[in-house]
Amino acid sequence: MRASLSHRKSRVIIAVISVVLGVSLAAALLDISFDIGERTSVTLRGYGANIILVPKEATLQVGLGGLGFGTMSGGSFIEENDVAKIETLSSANDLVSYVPVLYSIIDISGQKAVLSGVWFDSLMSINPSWKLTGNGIQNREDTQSAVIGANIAETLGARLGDEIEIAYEGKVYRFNLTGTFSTGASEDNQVFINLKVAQEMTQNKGLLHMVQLSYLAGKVNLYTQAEELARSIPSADAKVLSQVAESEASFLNKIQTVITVLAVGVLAASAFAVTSTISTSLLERKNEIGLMLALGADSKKISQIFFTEATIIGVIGGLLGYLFGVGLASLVWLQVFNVPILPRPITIPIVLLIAIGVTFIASVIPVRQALRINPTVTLKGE
Amino acid sequence: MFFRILRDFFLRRKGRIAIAILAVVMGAAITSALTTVSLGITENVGRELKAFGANIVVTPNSTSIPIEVGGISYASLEEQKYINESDLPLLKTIFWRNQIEAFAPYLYGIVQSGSEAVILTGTWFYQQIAIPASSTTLPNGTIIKRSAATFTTGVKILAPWWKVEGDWASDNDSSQSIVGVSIAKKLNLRVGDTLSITYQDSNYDLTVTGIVSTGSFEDDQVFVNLDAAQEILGKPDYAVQKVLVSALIKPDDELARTPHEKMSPEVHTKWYCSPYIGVFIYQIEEALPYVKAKAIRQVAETEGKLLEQNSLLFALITINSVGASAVAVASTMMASVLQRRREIGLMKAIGANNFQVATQFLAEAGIVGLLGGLLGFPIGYFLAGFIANNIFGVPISTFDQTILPITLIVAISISLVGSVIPMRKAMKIEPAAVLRGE
Repeated sequence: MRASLSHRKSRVIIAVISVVLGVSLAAALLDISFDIGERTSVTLRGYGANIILVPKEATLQVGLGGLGFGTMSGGSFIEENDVAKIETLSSANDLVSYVPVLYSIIDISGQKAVLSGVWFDSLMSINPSWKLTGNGIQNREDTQSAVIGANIAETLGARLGDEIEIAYEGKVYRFNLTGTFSTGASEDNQVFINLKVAQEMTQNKGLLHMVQLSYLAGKVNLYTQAEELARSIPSADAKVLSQVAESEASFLNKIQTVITVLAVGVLAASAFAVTSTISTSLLERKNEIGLMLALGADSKKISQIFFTEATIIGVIGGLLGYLFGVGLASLVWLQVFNVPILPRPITIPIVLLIAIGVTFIASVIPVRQALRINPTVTLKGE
Repeated sequence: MFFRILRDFFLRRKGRIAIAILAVVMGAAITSALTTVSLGITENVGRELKAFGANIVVTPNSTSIPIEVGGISYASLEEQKYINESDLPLLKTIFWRNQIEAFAPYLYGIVQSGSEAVILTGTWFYQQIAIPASSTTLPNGTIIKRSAATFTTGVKILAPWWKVEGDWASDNDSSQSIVGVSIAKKLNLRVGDTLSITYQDSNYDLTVTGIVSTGSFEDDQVFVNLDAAQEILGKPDYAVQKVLVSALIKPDDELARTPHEKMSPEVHTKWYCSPYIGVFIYQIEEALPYVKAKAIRQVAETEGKLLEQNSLLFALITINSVGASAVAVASTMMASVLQRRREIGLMKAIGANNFQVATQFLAEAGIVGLLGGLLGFPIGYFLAGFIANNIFGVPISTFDQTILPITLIVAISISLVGSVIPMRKAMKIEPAAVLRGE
């Protein structure tokens, strides 16, 4: 047995190499197809919130929470105290971020505009695609800073560092313009300050009009998540933004299916290449089998030797192939997503099974063929 | 002699040749499938991403700040400017007209229904419009003429995620409406009911043909066709407040980030003829000089990023897989040449020189590669077609003529490369030793 492996080094090496190659490709693609969903869902977070909380008792929401037509007509609110529960739910790990919002209508340089009180840091992490020029509002206690939408900045000719005056119900508040925001959406026409400051200004302490939440797509079922949120936050209704949620899910599915189909195709092809290499190299060993038969070994014994050999080749090739595969997948990941891939332990048994299985199957036909032959003929060299 | 050996090789060693050819077939199939898929992936993914909605918003140039939350602008107190409805077909006359998948106009107003205030939105649901003939002048002076055409567009195409219970309202019947699910709940409306609305003391009765739910601001709106909204809200019969456009874009690269004011005419033309988001905005503002077009960043940016990642990912997978299958094929070829050491010894013993032996073997390998490539190509093409058809729901758009030669070259070269190494080894052998059976 030992002799069989060590004496025929070059041939065994070819067999091992071909297993390594096949397996590494399979392992790389398996790893990629396991991880692609997660990576893509991180990129998909660029689309912003996928669940929003709105006040439960809302009269029809003309605008949000009763924000209508240039006036603030009372409306209904979400209790800010309830919102902290979001972080205690079991899904908190898959929550990218959430941001509470309080809207009001203010006057800025004689024009009416929408003021949003927010947690600015969370707003940015929910909406990574928005382009901030200058600085955001650094901490949630900051009472001086304001960020305005690009459209307002353009209309008013405001520049970074300017002092802006915001009037609410006759009182004037002054803020330092630290940044401008370009989003292409309604936010281009809004003024952002800290939530706390907005609540004090509008005498809506502890109250919110909306909470935007962003969960990793594919990790949580957004519809059950919304139900859970609505249950644990009594003052709010949770809504799934189907534009984002459904498109994300279907996109993820498709990309994952493409990769899986490719993985299976590549797997089949490399399994075949391995089979053919091993079969060809075994066919050559007819002589050896003939000699063994001539020396009185029975078929069972011979099969045992060859299949043990196949198993060893499969295990060695499989393990090396797995390592190469993870390396390969990691290289791809670093190129595409700038992070190394997370190797999944589940790939190890899968690729080992494939490697051993393929080597076995590859050995069956030539060994059986060899066993059928007449030893004397083989030894004569025909 | 050469051809006889060649013929015998293929006729007599069927089993072994079949294995070698099959190995090449597999390699070639992978090459052609992956190349086809990765060449088409940008387009397919781009089309998938359309599900996320419009990526460009077009509004009239205005000096006042709109009171805007959630995409709806509540009448600013300043004079309202509009986009002219009859100018909308011009959006499809820009250079990149074919990349504009859909657009829809919007007009908003607040109306009363009983004691509740609701948002009335006028739009196109599913409308065929006539696109006039046009000519575009490229920055380098080339003039491109396009003939007239028709185009079907509207919310139904622009926002495929809308879930409408019942039917979509008609673009021609001003008494039909689609009601947001929150309003329907609040006012107890069902499909087929009549919704009465009041605007400035005039009453209108609308038939509810469908109830829409999106989870977003649409749930709190009543949708009617654009003409109805213009009439009910007392706006001019051309008034449009906003147009959302969905364009198939190419991810931004170095050229896209260069300020186009500073470009030379040649570079500017190249930029003008690349479907970057910025180019769409430029061309839309060129077609309708009184509007401002803006990228909806969360859609446009994420789209660009996903496209870039996926193209790169598929390119890398393709290179790796082709590389690995090349090595696998090469190792099969190697094994099959190694087996023929005795044959080589015999050829040498009867007087063949190394060159003749090499030519013989390379010719065989070349034929194996060619056959494998020819057989593998359609299999790969079928696999790629399967992916395109079943996953993205579109057939492979264009047959890329470069793929066949690429596949053949890859197949022949891996087969040749696989033969060279063992052959060189084989040629060093002593004929006598081999023939003795060592």
